[in-house]
Amino acid sequence: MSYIYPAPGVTGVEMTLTLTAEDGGDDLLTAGSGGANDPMVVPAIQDISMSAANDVFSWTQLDESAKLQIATTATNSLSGNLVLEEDSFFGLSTADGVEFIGIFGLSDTKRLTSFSLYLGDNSDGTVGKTITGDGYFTGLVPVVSADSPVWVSPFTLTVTGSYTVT
Amino acid sequence: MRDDIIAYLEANIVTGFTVTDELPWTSSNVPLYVKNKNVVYTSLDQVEQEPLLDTLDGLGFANEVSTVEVFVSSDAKTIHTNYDALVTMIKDVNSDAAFAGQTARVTDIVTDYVEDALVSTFAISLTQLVASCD
Repeated sequence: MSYIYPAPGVTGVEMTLTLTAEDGGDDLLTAGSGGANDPMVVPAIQDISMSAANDVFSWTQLDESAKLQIATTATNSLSGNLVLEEDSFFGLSTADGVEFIGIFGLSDTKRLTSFSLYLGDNSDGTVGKTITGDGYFTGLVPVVSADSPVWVSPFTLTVTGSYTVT
Repeated sequence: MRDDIIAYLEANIVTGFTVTDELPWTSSNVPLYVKNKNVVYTSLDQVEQEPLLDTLDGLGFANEVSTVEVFVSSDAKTIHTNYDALVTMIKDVNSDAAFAGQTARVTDIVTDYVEDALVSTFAISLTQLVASCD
C-alpha cells in the first residue's frame, strides 16, 4: 500500500501546482521563473480539489426495471484557495519592458495555461503521481477581513480536454 | 506591550492615583495592589497564538493575542472621586497610537472586594497577525 502523504514545506515531497503560460511569446509568469515560459510553482495554496466529473446519459427500456446509464464526456477542473503572494499573483514588470503577467494576468487575459499537479510523495517513500493538462484560470475572488487580515482567493482552473496521469 | 501600557498610564494617570512599574507580586499572601491602594500595577504579557490559516507549502498565519492585566485597588467604603475617570482612562489604552496595527483590541473589567478594598482588574487583550514566512 502506498498512501499519498504530501508534507507541507518539504521540497520534493510537498504537493505542488506548476503553471506554464501557453501562447505567450515573451510573456512569463514571474521574474523568478527564469526564462520565456518557464514554469512557475504557485505558492501558498491552502487547499486544492480535483474534479473529474463525467456527465451521464440515462435512458429507459421496456425490458428493464431500472434506468440504464452510460458515462459521457467529463468536465474537468482544479479548484482551491490560495494566499495572495504579490509577485506570483499580479506579476512584475522589468526594466527592459518584459511583462510578467502572474495568475491574475492569466485570468484577465484568458490565456491558456498548462498545469502540472504533483500530489506529493507516497507513504512508502516512492515518488507520487503527477497530473497534467491545460486550462484557464477563473473564479478569482480575492477577499480580506478584519478577523483574517490576509488576502486569500479561491481559484478554478477549468480544464480543456483530459487529464494526463504520469 | 507592558512597557507601552505603563508609558500610556504614566502619561494619562488621573489625580489621586499613581503608576508603578513593579510587578504585582504577592507579599505575605497579600497582593501588592491590595496592600498599596490607589497604585496601578501592570502584569507581564501573556501571549497565546491561535492558528488562522496554513498552506500546503508550509506557510502559516496565526492570530497572536497578547494580554496584560492591570490592577488597582481603592477604598471600598468611600469610592475614590476619580475612580470613574481612572476606569475610562485605562479603557482608552486601546486607542493609544502605540498599538496601531492591531487587528482586535479588547478590555475586560472585573471588580472584586478584598476586605475593605475595591479591586479592579483590567484585562487588556491585543491581537495581531503573525506569519511564518519563508
